[in-house]
Amino acid sequence: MRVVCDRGALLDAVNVVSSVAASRTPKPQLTCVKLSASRDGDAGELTLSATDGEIGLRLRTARVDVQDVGEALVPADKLKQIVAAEDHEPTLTLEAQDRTLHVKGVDASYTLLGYDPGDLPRVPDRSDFGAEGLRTRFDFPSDMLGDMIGMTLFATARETTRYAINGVLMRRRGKTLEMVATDGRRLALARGTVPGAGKDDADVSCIVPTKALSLLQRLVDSEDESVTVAVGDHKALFALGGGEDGAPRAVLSTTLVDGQFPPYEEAIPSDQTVKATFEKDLLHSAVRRAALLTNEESKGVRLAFRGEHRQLELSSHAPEMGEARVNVELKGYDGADVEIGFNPGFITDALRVMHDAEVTMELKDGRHAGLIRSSGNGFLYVVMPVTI
Amino acid sequence: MGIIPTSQENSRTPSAEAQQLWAKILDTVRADHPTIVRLWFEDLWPQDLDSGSLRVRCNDEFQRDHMERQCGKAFNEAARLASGRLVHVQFLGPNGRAGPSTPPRSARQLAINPDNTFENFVMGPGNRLAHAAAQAVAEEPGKRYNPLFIHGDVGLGKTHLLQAICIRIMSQHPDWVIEYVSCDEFTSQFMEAVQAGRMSDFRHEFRQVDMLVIDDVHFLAKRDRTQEEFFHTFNALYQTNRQIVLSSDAPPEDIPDLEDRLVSRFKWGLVTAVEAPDYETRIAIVQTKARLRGIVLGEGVAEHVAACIDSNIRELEGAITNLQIRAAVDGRPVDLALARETIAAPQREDAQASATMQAVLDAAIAFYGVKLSDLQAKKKTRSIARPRQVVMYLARKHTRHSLEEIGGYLGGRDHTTVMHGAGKVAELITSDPSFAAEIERLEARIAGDARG
Repeated sequence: MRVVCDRGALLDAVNVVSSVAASRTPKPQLTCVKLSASRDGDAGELTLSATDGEIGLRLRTARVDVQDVGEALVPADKLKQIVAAEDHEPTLTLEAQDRTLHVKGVDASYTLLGYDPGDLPRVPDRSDFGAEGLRTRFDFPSDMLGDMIGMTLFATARETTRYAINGVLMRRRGKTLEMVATDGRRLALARGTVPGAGKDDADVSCIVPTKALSLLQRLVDSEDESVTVAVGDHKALFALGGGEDGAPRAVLSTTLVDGQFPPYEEAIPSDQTVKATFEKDLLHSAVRRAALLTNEESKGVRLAFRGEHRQLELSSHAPEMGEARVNVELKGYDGADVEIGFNPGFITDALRVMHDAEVTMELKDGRHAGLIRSSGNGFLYVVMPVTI
Repeated sequence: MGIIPTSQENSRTPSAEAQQLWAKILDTVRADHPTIVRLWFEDLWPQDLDSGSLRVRCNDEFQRDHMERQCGKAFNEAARLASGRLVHVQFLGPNGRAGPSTPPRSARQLAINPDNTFENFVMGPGNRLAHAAAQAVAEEPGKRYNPLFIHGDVGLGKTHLLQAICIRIMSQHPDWVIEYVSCDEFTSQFMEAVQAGRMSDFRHEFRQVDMLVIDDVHFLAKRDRTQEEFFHTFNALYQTNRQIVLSSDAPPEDIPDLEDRLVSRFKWGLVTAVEAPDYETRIAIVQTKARLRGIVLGEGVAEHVAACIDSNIRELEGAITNLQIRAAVDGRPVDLALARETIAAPQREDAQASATMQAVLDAAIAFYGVKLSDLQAKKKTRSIARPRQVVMYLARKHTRHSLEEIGGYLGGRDHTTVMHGAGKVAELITSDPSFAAEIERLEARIAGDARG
């Protein structure tokens, strides 16, 4: 194999693909990235792929000059460090010989010891979309998917607990795609419309691991294109770009999280009696300021609604530190006065991902969960109160 | 109580976390929703807490279905309050299986209340024959009395007997297909099938069952086409010795506009009546119902309730619910004093409860200058909420309407809201003389109305 690569394009690709590779594993091949150079007529392309055994990624770049086709399998983090360090080079030359890879710049050359390229478990490709067991398939605009991931991913559990499942529920029913994440203390739901889907298309629901979704988010963020999603019993595939005839730019495959996602619809309160409307930015700023005087022991901010005066007073109090009071004007208020405590981080997390200028908060009383939604219908957020 | 049945001993012991959470949830439900609590809740067994779901095992499918349908919301709410997390409670059957998430059959089938067993049926002179016949049918379905036709006024135990038969048969023949529907459901399914051109599906469904149980069959009156279809269903089942059980508010010959051939078929088996319970039976009923809910009745309470309410069992049950709510709200035991305050003897009620709901509403609307639509709306501003509570109080005191009915007049509020509202006003009357005078003026107005 001999390939001359645009260094910038190579770095982008190596950065993403190397984050798939496992960091600690008894099988060293899983810490590697595989380079495959191919040529079709005059057009050459380099495919980078890696897998940790559960998630697999295959990424193509055409900004290369393939002089000899071939393959190499080398440790991902070393390759990444080398490509990143050669920052004055416009191009790098990659040459594979047996189990080694030579990376050559103008004034430097590296020899990386690798493995037999055949030792990497197969990383799924476009051809796998036709495979049996992948029952459902649909296309979705990638910018919308990126948005929906952003609206939910933050709400997944950081560590494994009995109170939540480690992944994001992805559920398509007819024309609607829903993504739901919860860590047991809050729940985020994003909703989008699947273009071209019919009411009779088969419903599908699966739990995608957080790692796969954060990778997907990095992949979709870069370009505006379509994502093809295929879901089976135990795995899901995402193909970005390409369409029916062209080969996709990237294919991400992941095993799905086993288990049952808690019935989230039932967690969305339906009998809230208080409804407050805010300018999102005002509320966001107020919560951040009130949170300044919270600490590990007193993580809560108290929200006291005074409907008659259309005022919300946020207050916090940290022992041996002091207290804060911030007033926010409400755009609208309906219901009895209520006081409730929230973890301020949970509120700002949600406000950060909402696009609309206006948000509503619906409450029942100080004991029951609060509901935050955007003026559009695409985002719902349920958050449990804390005792203050 | 709380003893694990032997069949469950082999199962994984629940985590301490799951057990603690379940205990807290039960306490929360007892405090927040006292009326749904049943004694057998003690026998439910928390299995594990995982992925945000607390799985709780029930002792049979009826309990599971009942918990899912009737108590799911209360338990989920309690789980959240008890844990501070978004925890969901999932109820499993005895084999550890969850109920079907979208039940294709049971969705339109009537819910069977696990309380409605033969063991919990109180027998008295008015229902002895019906009870014996129902038991015979449950022991030997299709052989003894076919069809079994039970008739009587509302709230006298027809549905209890029907469900007791279903529960007994399902425990003895778990593989049997039992179609238990209301007459309305039969009719509307029939109409749907006709419109969708799927009559063969409909026929297959109703004619292939092992037992057909239809509640309130008198609703067949005047529905000629449904009667025709029912006639054929009846024949198909009868000829293959499948048990048919029917209930109605009147004996077959008194159901208006029922075809003669159906009347005669209904009489082929056994036609039996349930009649209003006598005083002793009512006492036993009150005691049984209270025991099922885990309420300890003070001395004389059952006798007082049975003496005050002589109409039907549903009202007895309503009285027990009222007692339970009052006891929970005030934090008092269910003793005779509480029973006397909550449930008035009928004579007293006659003297006082003579006003109509309209008179109460009219008086309040004129006095406070509010609109009826405001009283019925969800608004909670004080200027509306107070008049609304006054209406609750006055309606409680001066009309015969139940808490539920009063709530219905006020935009569908539930009985606890009405109870709370009326209580609030009663409290204010004792603490605020000017408010008491206000109420007196209103009462005078209502009394004036009642006299014409």
